[in-house]
Amino acid sequence: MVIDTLKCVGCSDCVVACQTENDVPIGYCRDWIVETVSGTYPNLDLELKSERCNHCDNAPCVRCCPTGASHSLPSGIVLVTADECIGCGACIESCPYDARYQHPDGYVDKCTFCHHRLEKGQLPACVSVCPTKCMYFGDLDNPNSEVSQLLKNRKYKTLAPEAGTNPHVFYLI
Amino acid sequence: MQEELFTSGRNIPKIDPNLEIWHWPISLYLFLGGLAAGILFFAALFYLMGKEKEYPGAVRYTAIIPPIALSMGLLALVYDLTHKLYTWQLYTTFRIESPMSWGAWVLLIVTPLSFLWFFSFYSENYPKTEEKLKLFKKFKFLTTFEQFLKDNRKYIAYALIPLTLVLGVYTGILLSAFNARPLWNNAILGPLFLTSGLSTGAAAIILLSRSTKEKHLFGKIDLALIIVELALIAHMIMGYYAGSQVQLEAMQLLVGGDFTLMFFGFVVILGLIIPAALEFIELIGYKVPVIVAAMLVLLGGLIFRFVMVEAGQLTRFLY
Amino acid sequence: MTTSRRKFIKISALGFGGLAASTSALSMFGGNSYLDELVKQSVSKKFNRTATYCEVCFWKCAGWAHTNEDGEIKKIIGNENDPHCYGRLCPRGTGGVGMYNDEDRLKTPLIRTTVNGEETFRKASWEEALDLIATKFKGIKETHGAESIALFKHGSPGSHLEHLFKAFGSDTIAEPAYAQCRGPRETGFGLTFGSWVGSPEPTDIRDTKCLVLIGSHIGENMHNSQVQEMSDAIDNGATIITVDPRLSTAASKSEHWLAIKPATDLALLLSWMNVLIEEGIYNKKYVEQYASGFDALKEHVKQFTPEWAYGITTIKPEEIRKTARIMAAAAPSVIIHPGRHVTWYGDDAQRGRAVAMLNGLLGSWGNRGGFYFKESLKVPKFPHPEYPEPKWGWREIGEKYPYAEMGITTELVQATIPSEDNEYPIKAWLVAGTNLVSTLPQREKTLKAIDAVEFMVVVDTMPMEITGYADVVLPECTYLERYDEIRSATNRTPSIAVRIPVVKPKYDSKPAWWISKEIGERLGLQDYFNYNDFEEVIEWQLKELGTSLEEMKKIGVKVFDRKSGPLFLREGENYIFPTPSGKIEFYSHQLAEKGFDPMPVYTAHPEPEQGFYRLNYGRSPMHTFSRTINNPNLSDLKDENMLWVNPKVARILGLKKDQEVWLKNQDDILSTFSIKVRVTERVRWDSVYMYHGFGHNNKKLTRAFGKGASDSELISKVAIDPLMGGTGLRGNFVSILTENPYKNTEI
Repeated sequence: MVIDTLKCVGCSDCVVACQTENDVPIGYCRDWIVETVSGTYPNLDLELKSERCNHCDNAPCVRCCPTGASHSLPSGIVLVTADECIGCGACIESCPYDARYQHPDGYVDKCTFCHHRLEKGQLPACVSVCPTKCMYFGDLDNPNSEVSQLLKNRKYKTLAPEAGTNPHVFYLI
Repeated sequence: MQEELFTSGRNIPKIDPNLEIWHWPISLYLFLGGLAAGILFFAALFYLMGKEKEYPGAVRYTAIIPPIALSMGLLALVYDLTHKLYTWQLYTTFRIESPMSWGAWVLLIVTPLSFLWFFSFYSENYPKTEEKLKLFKKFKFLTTFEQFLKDNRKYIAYALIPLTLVLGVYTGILLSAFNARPLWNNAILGPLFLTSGLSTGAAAIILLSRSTKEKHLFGKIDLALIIVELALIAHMIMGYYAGSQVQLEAMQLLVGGDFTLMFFGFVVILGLIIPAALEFIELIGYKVPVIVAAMLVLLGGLIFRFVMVEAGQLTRFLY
Repeated sequence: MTTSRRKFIKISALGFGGLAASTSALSMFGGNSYLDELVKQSVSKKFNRTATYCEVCFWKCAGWAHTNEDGEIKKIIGNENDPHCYGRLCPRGTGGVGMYNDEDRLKTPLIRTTVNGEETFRKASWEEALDLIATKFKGIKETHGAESIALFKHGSPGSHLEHLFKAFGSDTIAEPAYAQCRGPRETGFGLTFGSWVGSPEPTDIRDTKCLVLIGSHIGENMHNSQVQEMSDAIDNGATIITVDPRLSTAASKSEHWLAIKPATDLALLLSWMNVLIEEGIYNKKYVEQYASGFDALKEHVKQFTPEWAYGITTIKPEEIRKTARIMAAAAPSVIIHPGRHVTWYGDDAQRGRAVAMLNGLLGSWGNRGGFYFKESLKVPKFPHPEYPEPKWGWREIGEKYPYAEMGITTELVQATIPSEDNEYPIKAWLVAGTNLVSTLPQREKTLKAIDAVEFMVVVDTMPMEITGYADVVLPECTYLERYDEIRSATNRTPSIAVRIPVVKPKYDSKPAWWISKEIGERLGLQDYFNYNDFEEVIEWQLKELGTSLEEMKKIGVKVFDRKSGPLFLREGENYIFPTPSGKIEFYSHQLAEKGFDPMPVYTAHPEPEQGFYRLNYGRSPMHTFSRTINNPNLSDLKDENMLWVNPKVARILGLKKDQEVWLKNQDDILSTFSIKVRVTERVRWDSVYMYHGFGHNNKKLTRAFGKGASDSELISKVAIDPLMGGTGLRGNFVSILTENPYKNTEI
């Protein structure tokens, strides 16, 4: 997923859309907006980003799961099989992005890149609703895909690269 | 000025503003696990060295603690799970990269072994109880069973040595594998927990021992272990100082923040330095009630686990 | 084929694995619409979708409400063919499900009664409530005339009730959207270009080369298509210039952010005009062909040099010149955005004039990248007898203001307060879809008027503060549960959208059309409601427009061809502007004749004293005014507002992050609730900022009660625009109290 921070206005549409699409209980969220303000008036910089599980290549949550409920698909998406999750909370402790939470039903939940929509050829709910169209989703292995082209032509960053997780959500800056 | 905030109202229960996933059940289990590991290690070790007659406390009398401790620990763990109906999933697979999986399997093996160890000494340790219960009269197979265990105690002991070491060390590695919690993310935590576990085990042996010779020996052992522990803690804190920004901030909790009193007061001073001093005074020749030192060590161990679990969850990688 | 870990769409073991693989393979080469349709159908098998258009704000984006097998509304998605949203709803629209699910909704009609000496509401049947309303209305008509019953409205329910009122013989109608919001700019642009800006604004943002936002915070206001087009503009490399005392989101995306001193915007506008004219970089051809009064303007702005403006606005002269040159270079593809909520300091219509004139100098009106010529489809009115002619109405009430083109709410409120020389006494109120208590300034006055009113009816979906003052409260169902008028708004191409009820009305709520019809029939006006269900009206209208309800149910939005001519001016076209002179009027004779300034002049506005800070307010993209604060989905995003305070001020007052403070304004009015402090560099040291709409005072709004503070209760000073009666709301100053002022008093 590639998100253009130069266009994001922090409206949180992605948060609500994810909630209605994935039946996320009110009070919980799979994605959220972070606002960063730096500088002194009037020399200021404001950055808005929509964050979620980064579906890391080197996911600590997959590594530490004792039952294998937390697993990576070949495509790179990290999912949780609710029926295998025992609710031990190890994955929550291990995520440097604090992207996971305990669902009221007992298992651990997080962003799934709307896997059920991807299977039908649709984009994740957040990407398809964003009014500034600042979110892009696609196949990084394909050099001609929109996301690959964006990463080729624009400066970008990932969150907490020093954590060594190799995340799959890139922020254009 | 740098300002960073969630603008979409994120306030997930038990995640924001700090993680509150693991509480007293986990701390309690870490303590009990370390305690059981320490006791069983010394029991197995001294048994294999043939010192069963010399130090019956280490080998026999304390054998009742590990089964109870491990069972309580297991109960605490299961109590902590939020998806309890699926607990059995833990035992459908072994995931080598997950310290928790290691722990689950080690527990599965050590707990029955500790019961067996205890049971093998049952009639020796508690003849009066046996007179009352007359279990061996009621269940004939128990006699053969006990004999079988007595013959194979050696092998149980051989198995227990590595297993208890793993049990003692994995509790620390479990925490240190989470690089997302800066307070836990250092390699010393494993050995530190092991040392602490052995130390609490030695303390328990002192408490239940009936011979002065044994008490003194284990007092010395405990002293040595405490000194090692203090050194490890010092290294841990030095490691934080040399670490990344988040680790520096995490360390502030222990050194200059909410947990300073608990950590330095209860864990370091009450739980390590004073017992060490008492032991040392005893070594020189004065009469000191060793029990006091032992109790303090146990208390210190428990509080140490509490502090690490609670304080660790206050530290985050981002925000 | 080597399987790589990152093939997101192709490799999937479940369900449509094969189909998805082939569709994505095909879509790599350009797509296959047949397979797309197949996939779409299998998707929609799970959900039913109903066409509707959103009512959470006034943008009216069309969308599809998805319901599952149990008939529950699961999600609302934008209609892809709708030029208001292009398939993407804003967070309020997406959170519209919360409006339906909110358990705090009004459930039954309520009638005010006295129990044990205390006034309270009792539940009533619709029969009783409607009968009571009809009786009262008839009575007041007999004694005082139908004109003395006023309607305050906003949104779709308003149009149904307006029809009822006009049929009944009352034209005493006003909506806060005029005098408390965009009225001044309509007057300003009307006097200059001869036409209103309207809604949505005809700004061609997606093709512009330079977007100038002065008093507009696109991105924090969620004007859907404008936010989308601003994003397009950023992609196209357009220059954005923002003038705002605060670092708004738009300002953070601008090449140039002019951190202007509050209340000095007119000086900057005049100075820009000075630079354009003095440096000769204005759009000469355009001005020559289409504008009149240029020479007068040139003379007029000679004195408004950037150096003069610097002293007033604190914006450096080089910045003023630089930005003016950028605008000129981009002309005519430049937009000086007219703003939306422009009722600030009382000279707002003149400032609207200045914005319009600046656009005129740059030649943006009628050119690509500037303003397009908007068009809407005229939806035929369902036949009804002619409305009776009332003796007086909103026009007479606002006669002091020669350029008022709609009812002035605050004047209606004034006319309700009994006084000797009140020529147009209002005796009864019906309030539909607007929370007057939170919308209008000078709350004391509003409450005084409410006290004086003989009878008051409130039609609303939620127990907003205004319902607490009513004699009769009528629960309306949400937009997801009713039919409403066909949406036909102005845009690049005319389009219509329908609103079909997705589910049956919850509780005992009813649609506004039904309420109007029922009241109308009781008042003997059945001829004006010649239908049983509003569906018949829609069906008839759609047939007249050349389509059908059946078709619209399937497509939701229908776009028509333009009939009024091209979107933009052709080269050298002899276009006649609908002004008295047929040209863009830089010098307004109309204004001069009536004794107003024919060209805008700068007047200094009152500034805060020591220890006081100007109260500035604005929008957050998650909420619409005070309407959505209780919505469960949206309250989850933001349940309270915070007071933005500059770190310098925080240091002086000893304020810390999240500290609770109370506000006291210059007239000693206290905020009812406390508000948390946000120490941020984004706001200037002479002002504080907060989101509007919070600080709800009605306990029935369980999620919203007591959260944050209300800015509108602190607006006791207004500056009335002499041209059209708009109420300038930004001249209030607050002091920050760290101690609870209510500690010793009982609330």
